[in-house]
Amino acid sequence: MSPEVVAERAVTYVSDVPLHARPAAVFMDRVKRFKARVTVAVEGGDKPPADARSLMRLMALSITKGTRVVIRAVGEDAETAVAALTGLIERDFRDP
Amino acid sequence: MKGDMARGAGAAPATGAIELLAPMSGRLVPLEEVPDPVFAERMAGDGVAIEPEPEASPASGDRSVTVVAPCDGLLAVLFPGGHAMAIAGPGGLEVIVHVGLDTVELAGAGFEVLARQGDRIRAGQPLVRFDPAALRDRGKRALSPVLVANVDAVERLQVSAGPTVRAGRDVLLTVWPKEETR
Repeated sequence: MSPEVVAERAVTYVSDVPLHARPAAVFMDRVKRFKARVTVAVEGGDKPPADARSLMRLMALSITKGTRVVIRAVGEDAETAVAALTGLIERDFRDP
Repeated sequence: MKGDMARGAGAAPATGAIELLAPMSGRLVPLEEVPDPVFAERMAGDGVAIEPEPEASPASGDRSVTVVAPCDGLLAVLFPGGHAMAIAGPGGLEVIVHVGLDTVELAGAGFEVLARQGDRIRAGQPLVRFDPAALRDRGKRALSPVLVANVDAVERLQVSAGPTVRAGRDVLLTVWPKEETR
């Protein structure tokens, strides 16, 4: 079994639209392209990290413009996943 | 007789499936016909959309539509504007009701919130009241997707034959969760 890779990075949520149903669904769709287990948390927040494959849990984080968001991935493609997902947030969900 | 089964609020049919009640009254529209790829391509989950219709007769002048809980559960998400909610329901199901399209931009205009995020809710309980005409006046579609978001946990999902449903009275979705998630 290959050693587990852990990657983590914090980014600022820049979209005018909160991480509600639409953007959260786009984010989750991207998460599903990776094998790594991905969680999302609000930096310094009191809520536990949310499973990024749960639209409901992503929405429950109440992420809005300016929120610092911590993306963490565990698995062989963790680093690629964190790079892609933080990039997605930094680009306001637009493809590069 | 087939198709004539008893339908109680949140009652499970004999097969162990979970029944989700219509959260609002209206006409059913397949997800593929929702003009938003996030819903049409089922990125947000599987289900059906409802083109809402007021419960009251037109003569009463009351044009409002009440969104009720489709099942017992925890109201895990209720956006402050009232346009979207997510319920942690029975069998581990995550049920999302999105009132109208692009309605986040309204920031609550035309919506009256009747519950609070974090509330324990019962099937049929009013959550939000809104005016479809007010949404249309502001250039928004009132078409409302009702979804099971965590499709990974679902074995099979059946949509009501419609063509119309009544809020809190008719079963909208019948869901068979996967064995290991129950």
